[in-house]
Amino acid sequence: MINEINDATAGWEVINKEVIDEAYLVTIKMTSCEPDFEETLHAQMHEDKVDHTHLKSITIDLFTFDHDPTTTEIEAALDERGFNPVIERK
Amino acid sequence: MAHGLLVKNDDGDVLIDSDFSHYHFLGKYNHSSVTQVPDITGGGDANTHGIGGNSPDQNKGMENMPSKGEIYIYSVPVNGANPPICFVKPTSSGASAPYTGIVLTKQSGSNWEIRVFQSTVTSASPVLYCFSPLNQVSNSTSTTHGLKTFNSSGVATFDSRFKPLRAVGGGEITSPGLAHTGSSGSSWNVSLNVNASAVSTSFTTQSSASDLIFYCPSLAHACQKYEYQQADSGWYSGDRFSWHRSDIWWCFYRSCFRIASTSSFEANYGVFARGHFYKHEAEERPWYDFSNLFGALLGFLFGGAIFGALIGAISASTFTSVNVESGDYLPYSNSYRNTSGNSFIISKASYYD
Repeated sequence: MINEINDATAGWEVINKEVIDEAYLVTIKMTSCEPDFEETLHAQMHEDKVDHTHLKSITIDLFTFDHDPTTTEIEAALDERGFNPVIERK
Repeated sequence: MAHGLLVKNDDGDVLIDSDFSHYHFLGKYNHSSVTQVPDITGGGDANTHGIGGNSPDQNKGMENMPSKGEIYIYSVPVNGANPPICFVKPTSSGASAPYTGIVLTKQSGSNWEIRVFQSTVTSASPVLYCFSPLNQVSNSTSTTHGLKTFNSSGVATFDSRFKPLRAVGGGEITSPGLAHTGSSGSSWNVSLNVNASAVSTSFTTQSSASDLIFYCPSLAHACQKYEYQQADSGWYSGDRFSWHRSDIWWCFYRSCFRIASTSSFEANYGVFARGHFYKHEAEERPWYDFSNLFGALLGFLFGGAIFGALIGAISASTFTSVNVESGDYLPYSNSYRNTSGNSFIISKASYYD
């Protein structure tokens, strides 16, 4: 395994949902990753000790809805909150 | 009622009932001490200095966390099984006044201990106006005339020589749901301040808001957290590196109240307790060192075991040296409880000053 970072898939996941008085409290885990290198190129980068990174981040935050949200509505809320599953390489 | 005394007004409201233990004025009480719930924090760094790449070191303390409120502790000298009803004379009233609420009432020897939470720190302090059933009022009086009633067991239930509890308004109020709405943070910057809109309800209009005192125990609470973690590995200047950092910030909010005007009562939250845990580890090896790096384990702090052990160890040691009730300070997260049906009573300080 060339990439030393454990597997973490970019995307989002509902990790908790609670309903109180018609308020939907949805806790969402948002994972962002730098894009994968092409496999052969990546192997060569390690062989040649070329500077590069495999940055990943996870944010866990609360979202509220006045109804049970659909996937589309959750994704719209994530966009509004500024979630981007891709970390641009610097 | 086969015998006794029942006095009503023109509206049919009961003013005196000899079968009912009327509450009488005990006195005004200032706090004996003031405290705050200590921050529950923990963290650890391992080999994070000089690591290649972009291992983050910022905001490992309580940076950007909202300020906590204060807890005023009172000792009310009333010896009996019935808790006193304590009205709060807040430090101020109006739209910018702090919120206040009773968060604890417990018997302590021959006294009752009352704790009042105020959402912000002020130079002035709230004052309690307390009331109790007559059989627990030890105040003496030299007045030899008036009206005194007894129930069928011969227990005094009303005595005109002591000031009765007089309500001028009241009702029920609902606290906001979440204390903080919207994003809880960005990257290593937490944002858990109270930004909920106050909930308002009205009562019978009075002449002066600054004269009003209220009884309204804090029942609602909310607990919210923000979690963020990053991990990276790769090559930097000919060396291999790997690092990971995970953080949890949280606040526990209690509901509290204020007299917003001569006819308006408001509920909102204050930060009662707060905490921040993190773990940050890094390793860097020269290119000729082929030993394994630990790998950047996303989720290594959030698995539960480490966090649970940390909060258990820290809370146990922290609360032995401070005057705050011990307990589980993170009973749930990203939710709220007991927001509806909070009864309140309004009276006037000038009746008893």
